[in-house]
Amino acid sequence: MRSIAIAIAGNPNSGKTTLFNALTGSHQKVANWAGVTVEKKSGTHRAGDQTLQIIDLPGTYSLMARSPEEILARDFLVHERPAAVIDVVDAANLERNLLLTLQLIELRLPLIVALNMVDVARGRGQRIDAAALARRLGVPVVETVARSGKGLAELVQAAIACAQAGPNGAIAPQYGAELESAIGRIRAGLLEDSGLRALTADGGGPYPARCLALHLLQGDSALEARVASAAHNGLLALLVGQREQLEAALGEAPSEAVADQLFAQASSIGAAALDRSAEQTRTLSDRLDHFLTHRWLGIPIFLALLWSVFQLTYSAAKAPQGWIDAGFAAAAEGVRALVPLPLLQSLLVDGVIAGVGMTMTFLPQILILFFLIALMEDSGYMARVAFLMDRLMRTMGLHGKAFLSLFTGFGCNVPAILSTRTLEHRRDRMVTILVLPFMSCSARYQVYVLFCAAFFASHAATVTLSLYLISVAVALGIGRLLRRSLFPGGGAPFVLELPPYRLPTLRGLWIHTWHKARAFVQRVGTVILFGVVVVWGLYTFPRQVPLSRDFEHEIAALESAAQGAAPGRARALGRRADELRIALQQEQIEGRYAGRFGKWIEPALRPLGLDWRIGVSLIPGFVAKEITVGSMAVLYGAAASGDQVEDAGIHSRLVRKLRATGGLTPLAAYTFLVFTLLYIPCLSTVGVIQKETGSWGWAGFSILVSLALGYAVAFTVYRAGTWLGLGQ
Amino acid sequence: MALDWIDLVLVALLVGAAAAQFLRHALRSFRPPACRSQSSKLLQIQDRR
Repeated sequence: MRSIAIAIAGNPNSGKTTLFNALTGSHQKVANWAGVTVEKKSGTHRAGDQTLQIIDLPGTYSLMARSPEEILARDFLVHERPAAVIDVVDAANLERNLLLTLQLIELRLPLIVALNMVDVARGRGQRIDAAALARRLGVPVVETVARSGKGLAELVQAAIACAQAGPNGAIAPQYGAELESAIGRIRAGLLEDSGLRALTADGGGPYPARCLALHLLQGDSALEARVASAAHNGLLALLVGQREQLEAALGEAPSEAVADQLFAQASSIGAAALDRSAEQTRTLSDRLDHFLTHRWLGIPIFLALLWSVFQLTYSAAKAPQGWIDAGFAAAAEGVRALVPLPLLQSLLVDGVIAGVGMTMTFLPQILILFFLIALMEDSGYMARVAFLMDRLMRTMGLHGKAFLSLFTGFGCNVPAILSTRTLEHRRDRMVTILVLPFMSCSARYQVYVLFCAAFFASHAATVTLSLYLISVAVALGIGRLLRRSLFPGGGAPFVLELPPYRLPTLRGLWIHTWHKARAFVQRVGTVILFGVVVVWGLYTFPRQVPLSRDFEHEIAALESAAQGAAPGRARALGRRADELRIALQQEQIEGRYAGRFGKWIEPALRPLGLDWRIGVSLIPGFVAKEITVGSMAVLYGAAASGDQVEDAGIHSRLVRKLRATGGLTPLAAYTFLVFTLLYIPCLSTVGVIQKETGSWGWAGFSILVSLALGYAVAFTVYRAGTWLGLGQ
Repeated sequence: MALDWIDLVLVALLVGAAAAQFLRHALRSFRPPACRSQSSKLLQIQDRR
């Protein structure tokens, strides 16, 4: 049995991955391409006595080696020389997809075109003559619908036949007299130089000489460096000379002239094969886009949608949140009844159940939020938002593609920073990495939910939206500053495809939401659990605290005096005893490690209207922001028994305690939310900043800038609010 | 007295278990980014578009 390697190439969104999945089924292996986190998928397909090794290349619009994906795809095809290449072409976007096909033809590999999604094209009234297309391209064309499996058997047979027949694509793209003569001269220069000849197919190397000449002429820096190390200076001088000559003759850079020529040929080949007579001129997507991407209405519509998402999240999560809350409260009662050992009981009830239970009550919120965001993503609406934001992002010095990273940052900053690897220019990457910690991640969202319930119950969605807007404004503002000071210079062009709107599948939405839920519960069981246990320890030890007076003796004396006293006097004595009890608790808490530390940092928090307990809960937030709410539950004794309140849940008790004993005004609460939003990237984010920028300096820079900025913005909010008379 | 010791030992065991669980998770997260990294997720998003 023989095995042959078949690579699948194609534009993003051409159905490449669907085709790969349909061919390989569950026989897939997912790894990373060496050195980069771009996914490398390979799998096997059996066809008769042959095993096909299928490699799914990253989706690219060209092979011009501008992005990591393009470099990978090109290097794989050139150096690994698979037995055949399947180029997946989106039939509904034929002309644009043919651009890559023409570049693949230049590589002189056995090539087959899978004319995919012909059903979608037909639905739009487009009819493509596959035979005419095959004649024009000089390569076999097979019509497929990867989603339903139509045409796949024929495609596999064509790929096997192609692999046996060897390179095809007899018709090479033509670039016009000036470009062709320059390509010819560079090609001759390559073949004359013994060092460089070895790089070309004529000298036994991987590149067809014409293709190498073409890529060099277009200014492929990676290839140029390779050539420079293998060649005499003559060729580099020839290259520079040819580029200058062409630029003078054509009035544009050779790379642009080549792209123009390719596009003209792709258009002419596409037009010859395409019958548009029945095409619909204005689809439903177009009509929707008229409003949703409107110059003035687009952003207000987006903000209104975002507000509705928060509103829906708050109202729909209320009931399940109550059930989880009641469940943990019952667990606390159970442990109290079953565990007689005081320290163990305190650890389980005041530490684990209070902290973990508190965090778990946010599960419904997280699920609903991510479900709604997945709905926006899968329907194709998020691509429109990227389009709407592009102009604003550009004005603020961020690359349009960075919007996708910033949006990922709303979920978690760590993967968002990793995703900046798709940005081509280092300065674009650096600016995006450094502003990403300001994006309000879902861990911070839990603090908003808690505080909105306690202080802004009737305006929860508006307050939350305002925090998200502050987060975006700060990120964009810092982006602009960084771009003007540390990372000046132009950016790479941004191509964004707006797919037609589609109805998301329940399966897709479920997968998105399920992954988030699993990750959340995993974090609660590991990071949060440990965090709240540490906070509990700081809050519980040392057990013996030196007191300013003998509280217990005084309380006992007051209680015994109250027993024999008249009702009025007994009530007064009882009140006095309660005051002493509160004072005792206060002194005990302030004497423990958490209290001592809190008192130490309190002077810094007072100007923001915050007390020491809030301050202490912010510290573990550096490890993971979710620990903040868990820590508050521990520090405010949310699971403590004995307080006579009708609400039994941990969440509802903490909400009440924050309002009653926290000493916070709504203004101070909002200031705290602003500070939480900005004050420091969590430990994982700092780690990934260091890894991605390769410098601890930048990680430290990120910490210092966010601390200073968080403090400054929170201080401004608090002072401005007080000045406006909102401090009551 | 004996009960106090049992109390303390049980608490220490639980804290140790929580710390071990945390460390295991932390070590796993600091491995090189897995293939299902968000950069590939981003590509998938772009793919869908």
